[in-house]
Amino acid sequence: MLFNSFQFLAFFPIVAALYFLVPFRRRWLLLLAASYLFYMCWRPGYILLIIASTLIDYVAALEMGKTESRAKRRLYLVLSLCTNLGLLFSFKYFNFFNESVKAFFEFYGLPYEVPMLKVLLPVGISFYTFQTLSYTIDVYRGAREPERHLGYFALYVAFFPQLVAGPIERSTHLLPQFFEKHRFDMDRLRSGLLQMGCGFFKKLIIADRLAVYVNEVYNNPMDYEGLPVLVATYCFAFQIFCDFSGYSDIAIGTARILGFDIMKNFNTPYYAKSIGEFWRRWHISLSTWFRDYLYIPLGGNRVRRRRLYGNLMIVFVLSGLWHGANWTFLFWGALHGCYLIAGIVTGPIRHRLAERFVPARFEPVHRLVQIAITFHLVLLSWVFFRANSITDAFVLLRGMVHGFSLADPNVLAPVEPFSFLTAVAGIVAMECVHLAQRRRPLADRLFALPLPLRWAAYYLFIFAIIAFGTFTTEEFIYFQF
Amino acid sequence: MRMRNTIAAAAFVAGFFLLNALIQHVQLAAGIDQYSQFDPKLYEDRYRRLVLGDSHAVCGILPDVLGDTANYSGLGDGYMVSYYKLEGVLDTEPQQLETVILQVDRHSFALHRVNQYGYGLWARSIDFADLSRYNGPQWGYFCQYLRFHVFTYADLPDHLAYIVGGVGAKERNDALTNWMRNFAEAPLKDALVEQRIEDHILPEERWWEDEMVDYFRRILELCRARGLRVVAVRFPVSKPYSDALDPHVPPEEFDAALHGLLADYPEVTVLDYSRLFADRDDYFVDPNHLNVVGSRAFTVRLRDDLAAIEAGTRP
Repeated sequence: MLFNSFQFLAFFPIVAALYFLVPFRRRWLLLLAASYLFYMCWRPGYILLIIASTLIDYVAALEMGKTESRAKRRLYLVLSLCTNLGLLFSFKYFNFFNESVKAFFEFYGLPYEVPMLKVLLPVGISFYTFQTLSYTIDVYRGAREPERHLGYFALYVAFFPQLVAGPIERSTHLLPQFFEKHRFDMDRLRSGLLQMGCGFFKKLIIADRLAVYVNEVYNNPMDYEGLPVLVATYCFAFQIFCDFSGYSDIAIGTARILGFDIMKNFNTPYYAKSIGEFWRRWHISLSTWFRDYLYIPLGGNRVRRRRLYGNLMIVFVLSGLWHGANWTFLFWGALHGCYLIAGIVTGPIRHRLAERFVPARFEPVHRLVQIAITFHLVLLSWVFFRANSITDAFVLLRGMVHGFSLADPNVLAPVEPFSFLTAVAGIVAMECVHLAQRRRPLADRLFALPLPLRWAAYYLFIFAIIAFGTFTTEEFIYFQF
Repeated sequence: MRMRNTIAAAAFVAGFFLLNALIQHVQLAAGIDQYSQFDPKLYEDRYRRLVLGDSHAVCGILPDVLGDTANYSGLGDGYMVSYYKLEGVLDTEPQQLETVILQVDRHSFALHRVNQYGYGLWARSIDFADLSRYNGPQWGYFCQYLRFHVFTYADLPDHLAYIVGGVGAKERNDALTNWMRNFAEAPLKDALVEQRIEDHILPEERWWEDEMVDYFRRILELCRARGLRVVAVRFPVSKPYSDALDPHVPPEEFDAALHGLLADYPEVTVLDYSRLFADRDDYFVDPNHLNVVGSRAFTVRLRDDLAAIEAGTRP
């Protein structure tokens, strides 16, 4: 079920109403049933994968909890890792590796007969496998006790607000909340609805409208050059941000209404002053997952320089691969790894240069330059992320430079101008809110208004979403990951 | 406190619907409504022929060339949609309508068409009571129905674009022409063909769905009851597309199924143009849709054949 569908608009109020009506001890059952129903609206059979993953991790963690033997605990951890990563590999990566091996064999004229798997990628598999993996790893490390209630654990794996596109929650944060008795809270309802509204605004008014431009240019790379390619790339930067952070906003708002706090996934990432800071602000739940379960176990920062660079590359290449089984994602991840390494290598020099040449009164300008450079480095990487192939990415990059003219009359060729201008106006509005929120959160300002003004703002917001949103039920980009 | 909150919430919801009605009223009074082009009343008594089908028919038939024709096809339309469109048109009692041109391509009966409610532009034509009675609860269709009746002003930029008319049209046509140029390049051609097969048939490979067959029959029954001539047309597709479709929808099996279905309707004439332009890739905007040049050539051919059928001179 998509958040941006009428089905969800009916589904969620019913679930929320029932949640506060049923007795506390039965609430987990209601939420679990709702979560499974939410997932099964897409393809019912694939719920079995979630159930299998849940049962194996539940048993593995319980068994880990029963023994002190490190070898046995490791055995159950390996079982959990093999199950989850096996599922992920079979459904997401098998065809990619198979195709790559096939291409290699064909290059050398060798026979290769392994057929492709004809399976659909289960929605959200990367999210829920990582979520459940974090649980078993935490239990293995002794960071938490195994959960004995199968129902609560199943709910932790499948909790519908963040099941298919995150944020990737941690058992230490989300699981204890299922044991808390939540009462209906008008303030939580208001702030949850406001956050959901922000998510719908980003998704329906900005992301889905920009998608038309981006798809047209990126799916036909030979047909466009110059300004339209550059504009499409800028558009994609905002499309992917609004699409994914919009989903996270809806997920967080939905959970908040029910009484749960889900971790923040975005923190105005395009205002980052370095790539390292960008990754502390973008898809925070995934970045911290890789930090805690891969980067730190590899040695983190406390290793020699060469090893540190190697670790960074491993983490970012794997992060790229997490996003999709395609060389474009690997390249994207590797590029970010290179950015970070270059940032570390040049850090001291940049610092010294800034100290010497940037007077204190120009510090804001210096910050703006840093933000602009970081944004454009990220922008360059988005070309690889969005392009359909590495070849396409280079064709687009070449096209961006070739035939570039600021007065290109074809700049609006790929799109309906009204729709495009609506999206641009949406971006301007969103950035105004981001800037205003640096001093005080939007919700606080809004809730402090007198009732008539507050209601007028609510109505304006709702009707703006309906009137200027696009309702072709476009899927969220991160569903494919 | 709880009572106060409940009253406030009820007042807020009431205010929402009141404002919604007001906005809707203003929008419709100002004529900012792109869906009015799908109002069956527009077709009252003005056409002898009515075209029903999906994007193949939208791109393939030029009403100006065919003459006295309304092309009421829509992107992604399945027979469910076509049936209700036809019903809507017939409700206006058109006096001159004689012939219904109905698309019968190899993907027309596929599962993919059953749930094709995403486009929604036709939603105002649908009789939801009948759809639910006949086909069980149709949540997706109901949602679209709700949207196009309750939130008529949704997607306002698209309404405005339609009303202002032609803004960006030239650019979009140029983009389509560029798209055609892509098709001449082998790798993209293969990728596009694969994508189209996937869109139309895969992954279920269910190309003969009972629901589609039922609604196809309903269309034919309705035409029979009204004494309308039905010409079933298979639209031209490119050879690469046709060849790639063969393993998924074997031509002999499809022909046999269609033949069996039409055995109950001997009055239906089938015109098979599926391989008419097998050697003319330049007539296609993509693997399975005719471009402006192709659709002109096709419509001229169809016009001649229809004239022969209507004159009773075609065997």
